[in-house]
Amino acid sequence: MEGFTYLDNLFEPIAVVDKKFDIIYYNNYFVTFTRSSPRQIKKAPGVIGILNFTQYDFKKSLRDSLTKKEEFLSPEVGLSIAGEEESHTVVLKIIPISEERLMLCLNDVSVETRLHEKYRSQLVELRSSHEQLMQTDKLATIGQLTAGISHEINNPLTVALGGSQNIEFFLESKKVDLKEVKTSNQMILESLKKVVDIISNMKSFVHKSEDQKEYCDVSELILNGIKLVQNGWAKNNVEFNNIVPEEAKLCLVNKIELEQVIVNLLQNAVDALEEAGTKNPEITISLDTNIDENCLELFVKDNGPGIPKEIQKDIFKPFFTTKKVGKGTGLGMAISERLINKYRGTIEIEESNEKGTTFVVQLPLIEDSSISHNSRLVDNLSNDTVKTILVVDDEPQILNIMEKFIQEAGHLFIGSSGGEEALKLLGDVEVDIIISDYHMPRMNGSQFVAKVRKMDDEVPILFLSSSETLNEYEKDKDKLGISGLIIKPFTKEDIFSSIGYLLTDEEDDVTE
Amino acid sequence: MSGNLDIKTKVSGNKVVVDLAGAIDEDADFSKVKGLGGMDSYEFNFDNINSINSCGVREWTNFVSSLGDQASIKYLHCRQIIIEQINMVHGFIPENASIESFYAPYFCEDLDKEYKILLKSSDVIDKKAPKVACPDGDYEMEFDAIEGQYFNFIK
Repeated sequence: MEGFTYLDNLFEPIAVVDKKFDIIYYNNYFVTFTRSSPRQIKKAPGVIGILNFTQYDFKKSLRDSLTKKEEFLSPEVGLSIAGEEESHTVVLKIIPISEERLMLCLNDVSVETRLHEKYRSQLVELRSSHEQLMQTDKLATIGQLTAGISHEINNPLTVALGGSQNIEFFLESKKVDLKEVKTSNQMILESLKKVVDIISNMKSFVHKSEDQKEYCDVSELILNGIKLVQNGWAKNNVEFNNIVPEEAKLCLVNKIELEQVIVNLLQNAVDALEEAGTKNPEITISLDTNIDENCLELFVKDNGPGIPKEIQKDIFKPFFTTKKVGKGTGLGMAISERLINKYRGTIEIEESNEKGTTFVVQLPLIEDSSISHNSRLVDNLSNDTVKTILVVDDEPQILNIMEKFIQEAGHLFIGSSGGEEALKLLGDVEVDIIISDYHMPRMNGSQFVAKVRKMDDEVPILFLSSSETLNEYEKDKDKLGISGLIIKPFTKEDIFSSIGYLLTDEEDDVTE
Repeated sequence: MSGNLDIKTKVSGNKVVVDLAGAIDEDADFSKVKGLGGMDSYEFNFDNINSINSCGVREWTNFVSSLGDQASIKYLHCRQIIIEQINMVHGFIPENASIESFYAPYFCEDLDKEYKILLKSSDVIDKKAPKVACPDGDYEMEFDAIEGQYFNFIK
């Protein structure tokens, strides 16, 4: 039809109808899409006879658009097409182009809709398979460790049994020596506590981890991992060097997942030494902060025969194993890599030669990971009422609880494990409030705030410490401009009111 | 079977004949034919293709271009849905390919019945539908689509 020829070759089905909804124009793609020949379109009782929408009042939309002279956009609706089994999903747009004419444009979103559903369900399946794989690997590792653990449990149980027999003997004797009974009972208690420790470690390891990140001390996780594999060392006379610092080294991860990685690395080292029959076998584990690269570095080193160059690239591939049949699933390193990558970290072979192998795991410092983690949780970061609050504390429990409270108050939480790390962060990120612990290793609260004040003399700062710090607070209050002190242990209300007080103060300043 | 598409191949000399059946969609896997790369000629029979979607079109164009520009490629028994894609999508039929035969929609007014008639490309002159008699009654049938649009692929 003249006047509409410019629409003829568009790749979108378009039709024009009159006030009776009879088709007076259609483009080429309308014919293709509706599978209707010109003959069928001509014979049809208007556009209603051609476009067969399911569960949608097409006629009403046409009528409304014509009478109100308003454009109309439908939701995604079903459209049955003759000769096709599956109905299409389309969006219909009705545009009034004159008093008596409507233009209809169809957007076919069937493929997108179907693919979206298909890939979403496939993704769910993949996630569940992945979880199962992780669990399988953990169970396999536990299987490997079981012999050692049984031995470990057996020893304290034997001691407890002996203690119990002693008590029985003392009680049966004519004169009960209470001191001996107490000593035996203490022996039993200590032995049973050891058993409970071993079992609870195993339980937490086998437990399916939920995808929940928290601030935790990597040194502590290393000790947990060591407890699980140490029997393998004893059996093989492995000398173990633990040069993990006593000072807490924090990261934001799922505890159980990181423990799984540590156990994997340690167990692999034990297996490698055992299989190679290394003389004077030795494993060294160390942990340090690499402030230049903003990461924690965990090193696991053995003095085994090394990993041959040609297979080094394969060790992170699933189902790749050099262990004897039945000893490894070949999933440990693949899963470890995936878990570490999830935290934007890396795991790689730092060095491997005939003198041994060193694996290095790099994990982002909590300053980085808490920004990316928490930014996603805050609804509207650009909103003026959302404040960025930096909390500096070396205790993971404090950071976890503060994160929860600050999130509840609708602000952006950034955690930092120490003064040095926090100062580095403050060079790049602007914060609205700083809450700092007083007693921290390397740099205490006063030293930290003194350095902050050289960079920014306005940002409100609160100390977070025990009541024993009152003197220090009094000294620093005016000298360093400390706005207040939150006494540990604190409640949610304490935090809310301290932050609220600072923010009201800020508003008053603006008003003045 | 690759997804919803069934591919049967027959090799004779340097020629590969490929019968396609089912749906060409995002799961279509043409690796079976790709494995026969480097042959002189390929013939694709679309007679049993019942659907193709936009993802399938992408898979097809990628696949057919991977056969290279030296081989001779022929499309046979192209269904209406294939002709529509050929007319719409650049690359669905590469430069070194030709359409040997295809189905065209016809309507017999006397019997009030629709037919899909297999035509050869050479039957169509000046993008006009050839006259075709009704297979069931020898009546002359009318072409049941827009000629200029449907025969657009004929160079």
